[in-house]
Amino acid sequence: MSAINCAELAALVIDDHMIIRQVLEQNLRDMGFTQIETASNYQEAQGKMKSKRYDIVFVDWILPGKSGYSLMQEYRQEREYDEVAFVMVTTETDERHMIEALKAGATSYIMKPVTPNAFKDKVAKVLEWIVKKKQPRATAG
Amino acid sequence: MKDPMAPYRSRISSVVVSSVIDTFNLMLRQNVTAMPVPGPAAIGPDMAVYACVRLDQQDLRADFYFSFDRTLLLLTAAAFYEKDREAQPAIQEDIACAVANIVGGKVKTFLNHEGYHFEMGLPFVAKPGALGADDAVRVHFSFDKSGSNGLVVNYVMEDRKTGAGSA
Repeated sequence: MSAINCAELAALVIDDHMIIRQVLEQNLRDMGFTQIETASNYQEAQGKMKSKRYDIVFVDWILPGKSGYSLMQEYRQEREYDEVAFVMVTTETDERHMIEALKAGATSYIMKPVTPNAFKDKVAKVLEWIVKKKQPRATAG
Repeated sequence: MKDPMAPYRSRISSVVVSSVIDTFNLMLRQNVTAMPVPGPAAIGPDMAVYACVRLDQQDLRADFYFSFDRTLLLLTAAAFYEKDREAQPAIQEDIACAVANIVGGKVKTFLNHEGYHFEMGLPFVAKPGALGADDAVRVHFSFDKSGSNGLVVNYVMEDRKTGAGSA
């Protein structure tokens, strides 16, 4: 497990289904996250991301209107979001799909249905990524 | 006319079975099992919530209709929401559509691996009258030990060019 206190990290969960937001939120709480916010679509997510800095964003690939994939791509192009982990949540099990997401800047991906063990394993790896991203800033400062 | 999807029917049903069971049992904390034959009592319209998801590829269309026993959705809601929210129709319809979305997505991935290029629409709450043709393929699930119908997934396929299809 990575040396990071999950309670210090802010998470945003974006999915159009309430139940999926609930599932992800509960899995995050089980891992020690306490700062969790949710959004049900692109616009709501954009509003939240403008007003607050999140460390980890879980985003459903397909959202009504503009997709979660587009959201991830857009924010990934901006330097100030370099240290934000984007985790794509998808029903797709096609490897090509996942490679496409990772190439476009996703930090990781989680498949639906979301199972507690798979979720924990994936997020643990994402936490390692966050630690690595934060390290240079910590030593430089 | 030849139904282009005929060779895939049993495998589609397998994908439906595994994705429904994984979704309910591993993610939604329920105990759902597939039934080879329907349970004794059909889900009455008063106790049912219907959802639909559509896969489209030029001339081909596949519709998946989900009939949920409200009790199954209520139990699922109770596992995730406060007591005052679990009975809300919007909460139950959201669970129904979320399940339809996952199952539809898994079937789409399977068919596209077979060389198709299906796109999936957003799932929606369906009306009882739109439950699919009489000859639709049906997959039945139980959610309790009594073997009652908790969920029935019907699917129909249509080749819009030739008119062939259904199940």
